[in-house]
Amino acid sequence: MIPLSTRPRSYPRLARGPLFLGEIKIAHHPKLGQGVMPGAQMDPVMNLAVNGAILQVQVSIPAAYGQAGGSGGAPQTFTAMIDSGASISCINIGAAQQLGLPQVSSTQLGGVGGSSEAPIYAAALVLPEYNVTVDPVQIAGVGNPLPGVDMLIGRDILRMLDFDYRGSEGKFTITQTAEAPTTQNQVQAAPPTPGTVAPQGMQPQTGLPQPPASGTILGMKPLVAAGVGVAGAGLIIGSLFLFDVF
Amino acid sequence: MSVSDDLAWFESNRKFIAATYQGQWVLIRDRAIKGAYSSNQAAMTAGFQMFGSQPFVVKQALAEEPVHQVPTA
Repeated sequence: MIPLSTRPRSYPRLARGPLFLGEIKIAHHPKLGQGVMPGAQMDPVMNLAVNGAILQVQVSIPAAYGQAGGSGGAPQTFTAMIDSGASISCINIGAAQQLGLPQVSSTQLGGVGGSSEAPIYAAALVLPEYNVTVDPVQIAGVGNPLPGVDMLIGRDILRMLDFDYRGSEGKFTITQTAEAPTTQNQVQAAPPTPGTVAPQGMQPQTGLPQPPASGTILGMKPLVAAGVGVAGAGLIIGSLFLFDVF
Repeated sequence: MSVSDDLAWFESNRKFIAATYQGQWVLIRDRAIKGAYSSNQAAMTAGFQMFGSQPFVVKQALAEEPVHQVPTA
């Protein structure tokens, strides 16, 4: 039994249901896990515990895409949550389309309701409160990350940053890691490692191993395959004449 | 060629691509590998430099598509 004296007395809204385990508070708040609540009603510790690590993120098309002639909507600021349980970052799919983020891939997302395919967009993210820019970055489009939250910052972005969560102080900080390939706090494309193939200039590369084209015979192009076939037939017919079959 | 066409092409050739490029991030356009990179950021940047605003696909060369976990989504 936990002594009543360990219960904080400044959270009357939580007095009916929460289970307190010493300093670890499992708050059965009616809106816990349902989205962002107005933080002004709570002190920073409970605000962080109930709402999570909420921050503002400015999203736009990648700089390289814009420089290459790509167009999109004006940068928009969204409410995001740091979610270290997510292996990939997500954005509301409607917001992504409104911004004109280019789709560059798709992937499988697994959650409580099973797995589903989601588009992957290229984006540029700015965390103005922390002077952090990540550009370009891949971000998955989802129906609705959470009520009141337009984006989830997952481990794919956190791997480039240092995330310092101080629950007992009700605050968190995000900083650019010194090891990350940064220039003026910007995470840029890492140079290809030895052994990888890197582009030279603007032209697509040639000579890269390609899968065999569909419709080929043993990997041969159709014309070559036809030639081989005719030659083979000729040899067989010639052999038949040679052995006086006709 | 659309993104969906190139994604379908990647899926139909996933085994070859995974065996050849082994975990690298491949840049795909018009049903062909245009480059292989150590990160998706490098692949995307190269894609924008090569193709501008034209569509392209970036995929990691893995034998199976990983299922990303997003518990709260």
